[in-house]
Amino acid sequence: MNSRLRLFSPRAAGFGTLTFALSVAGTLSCNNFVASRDAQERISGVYVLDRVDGVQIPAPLAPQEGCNRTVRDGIMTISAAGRDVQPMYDWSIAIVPDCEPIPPSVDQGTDDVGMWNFSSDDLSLKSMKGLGAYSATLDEASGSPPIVTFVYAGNSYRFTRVMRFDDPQGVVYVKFVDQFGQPVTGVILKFVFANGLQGGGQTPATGEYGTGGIVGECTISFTPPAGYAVQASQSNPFTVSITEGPALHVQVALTKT
Amino acid sequence: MRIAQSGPDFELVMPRVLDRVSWEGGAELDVTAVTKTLKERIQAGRVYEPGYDLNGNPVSVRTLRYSPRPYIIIRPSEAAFPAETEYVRAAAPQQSRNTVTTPAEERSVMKQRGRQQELRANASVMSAPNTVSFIIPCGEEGADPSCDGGGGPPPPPPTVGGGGVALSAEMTKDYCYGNSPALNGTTDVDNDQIRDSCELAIASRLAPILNIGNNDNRPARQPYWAASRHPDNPDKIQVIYAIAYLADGGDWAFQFTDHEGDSEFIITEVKNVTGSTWGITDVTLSAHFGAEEGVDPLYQSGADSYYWDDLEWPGVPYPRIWASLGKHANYRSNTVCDWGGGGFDDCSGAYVGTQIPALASRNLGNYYNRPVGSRSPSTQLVNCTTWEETPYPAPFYGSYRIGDECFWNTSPDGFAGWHSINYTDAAPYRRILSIYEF
Repeated sequence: MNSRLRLFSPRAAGFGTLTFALSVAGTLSCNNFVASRDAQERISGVYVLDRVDGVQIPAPLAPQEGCNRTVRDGIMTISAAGRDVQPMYDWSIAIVPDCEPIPPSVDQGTDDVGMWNFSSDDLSLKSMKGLGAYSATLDEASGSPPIVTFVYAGNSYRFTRVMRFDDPQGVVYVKFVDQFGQPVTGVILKFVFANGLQGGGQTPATGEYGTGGIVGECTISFTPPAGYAVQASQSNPFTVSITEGPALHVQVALTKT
Repeated sequence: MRIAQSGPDFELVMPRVLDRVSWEGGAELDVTAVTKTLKERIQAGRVYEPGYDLNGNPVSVRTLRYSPRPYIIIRPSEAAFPAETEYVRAAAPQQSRNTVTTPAEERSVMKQRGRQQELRANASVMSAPNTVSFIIPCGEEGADPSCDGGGGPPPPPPTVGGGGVALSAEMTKDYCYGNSPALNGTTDVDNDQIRDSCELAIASRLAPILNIGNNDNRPARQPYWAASRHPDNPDKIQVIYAIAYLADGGDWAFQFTDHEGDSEFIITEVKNVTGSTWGITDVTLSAHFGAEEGVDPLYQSGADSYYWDDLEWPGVPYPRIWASLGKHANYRSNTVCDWGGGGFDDCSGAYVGTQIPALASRNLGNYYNRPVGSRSPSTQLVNCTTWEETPYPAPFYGSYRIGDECFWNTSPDGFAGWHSINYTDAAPYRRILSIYEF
């Protein structure tokens, strides 16, 4: 036979795996499908970590290198496909060791970004950061927010949705100026939105920092840089009401000492 | 087999990077075969091809749209095979991993193939010889640590594009990295281990030239930038230019249409040459990133990286990058642009290039390049921001709304086309910043 069919890529390393897989013809039944945009949007949103191996966070993990470790928090977002982008996910899990210095081999958590699709009742995740392909279970009980659970480094992490993709959101800008009207750089901000999601940042040279979140009451706390003091009439933290309309602009006066 | 025996050369390809780095030989795999070239299939409007899963069940394989399952395609060869192909395969080192490639190998291959892609593009022959290999010889950067053989030539000499640029005399590596004097919260506000004055100087003085076509129907943009120590090589700095177009002008190929917000990006890798001279060693260019991992007929990664000597350096120490008309995919030459996106990207007509502005007020800051448990959002300097550029009249930009935009927000909609509460049609910058660890 003078077959002209030849392997282009992957060469070498992948070839053995490839031919093996083709020859054994797997027996698993797969029901992956490209879900409709509506189906993708049904589970889209922001999820927060609530349990690790069934334990409410903060949850302990097995010690490493003599360091006790605690899962502090985690967050996951799932989005539907758009005109020029495929369904994507990302997540982040923060693990805090109690030792100092922290040996490099101690796992302090990680994060991932990738593409996803439905696989039967579960989700199939494909990492774009080198974590490979893995699956997550999806629980959609009527009347409850969806729950996504997956295993990372041998532990089970459960995320519950706290915000849908189409929940009303707004933007707030906070600008810090001194008594002379000059912008204040280096103010550290923390935002806590009505659904519990948090954000933060630091004012750049403009003295202004903006963030976005769900509509409702937002609590803002701040730490001025050295050389500045909070004026007596200024509450810290203070609250603002986020609305879906035009962005909210707040100005806070500090005293340059 | 009849086709295989009588027709043109065929190749068996797992075309998507994401499949090559994630498929572990499991049963979830589709196989299809075609006799038309990619270009012919695009012109014929084919999206699905008939194929089979590994149980022998008929399936439709989405070869020109996003496929949720990994797949292999047998197709007319898009590259000639060297005579010693079988020898190369047999001599390749054994790997312990279960995937076809690793992310490090893919990145290395992106850099290796740049010169060959350029030669092929200049020859305007899609079937020109291609000797790119996914094998990284043992001992080279990016090679699998479990390599048990092989070896190869050393990497190219460590030089930079255009000879680099001399910054202020004090901006040596020791000064910029805080070896002496040490950094603090005032000199390194975003805590990226780069002195703020240095990262601004590097980002602005070495910013690429962005070549925009006079015929681009949606050129409006408001670029931001961020810097970090390179995650794989902390001796280098990486700078991302988040170009942040107001809109994507669309393209009829692949049924792409226009949409709000276009999150294109360019990443430069910068090293200290000597003293206060810094230069670019590598550049990563987005091209249809996140949309089926790109649509380049051979590579489909969506963000390829190139060594400096695969780029255009028009007499300056920063490269010239070409943005395709409407879609804004980034390419390293006019010729490669016309060849990109399956041959449907276009850089025709007159182009004007200017350096991407890297203003101090548009430094996004830093977040993802430290261990998760030790990160602080206080190092994010710009999150939500407002459109400051010249407003464009509604008839030109249709219904696009010019409002706020957020780069770091934890939200499924992310970068959304200069309106924070509109659903995105582009990859959010937050995820791009995470992937590249800024």
